[in-house]
Amino acid sequence: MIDLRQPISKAMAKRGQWDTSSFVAALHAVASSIENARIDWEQGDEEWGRVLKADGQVAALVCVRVPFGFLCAPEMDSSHLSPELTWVCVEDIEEPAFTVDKSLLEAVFGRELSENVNYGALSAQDVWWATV
Amino acid sequence: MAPHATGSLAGGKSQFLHRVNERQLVLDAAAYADRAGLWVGNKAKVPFESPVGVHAGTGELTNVVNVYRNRNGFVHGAPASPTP
Repeated sequence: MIDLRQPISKAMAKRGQWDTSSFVAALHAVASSIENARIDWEQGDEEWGRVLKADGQVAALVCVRVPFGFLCAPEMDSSHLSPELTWVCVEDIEEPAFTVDKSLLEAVFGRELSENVNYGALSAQDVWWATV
Repeated sequence: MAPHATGSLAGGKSQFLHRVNERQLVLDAAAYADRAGLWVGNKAKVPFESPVGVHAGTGELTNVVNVYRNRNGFVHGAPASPTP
């Protein structure tokens, strides 16, 4: 189980350097690296943007609040993407490979989060679902 | 869904209309998304015949709901950008 506390705390420490334009740039950096990828983000309403491959599979999830993202495209090298952003690479977006302190996530997103998630064993998709 | 049912756009979040039962609406939207094959990953944009919310960015009425599901089948949702 991978603890997300360290990468999320690292991203929180850099939140002052993160704004909407850097968030959008990060999404475009990933999308431009994948043929026919598209960006899905409901500005203002969603706390995460998604980069979708042509077949609808999620290639990346990027957080609006802090420079943190999940990279779900094994063919991509995160070191070439938005260096200010803390990437966590995942092979399977649905695999419950992570643990995270719920109160840390609540601090990032500024609200109480759902109890319908096992924060001791959650996937990248679960983090997105609980906080989007 | 709580940020989308405060009754105020001040928080920057789109709001369900007061007369809307947002919990039932999201369940109905998820069921329709299943039938119509609207899921892209674990998100679906589901159109309704009449307005269900107000879009925070534009103040426009919207008839579209974004629905989010997880691997356990839980869903939640929020008003989305209106259909052009």
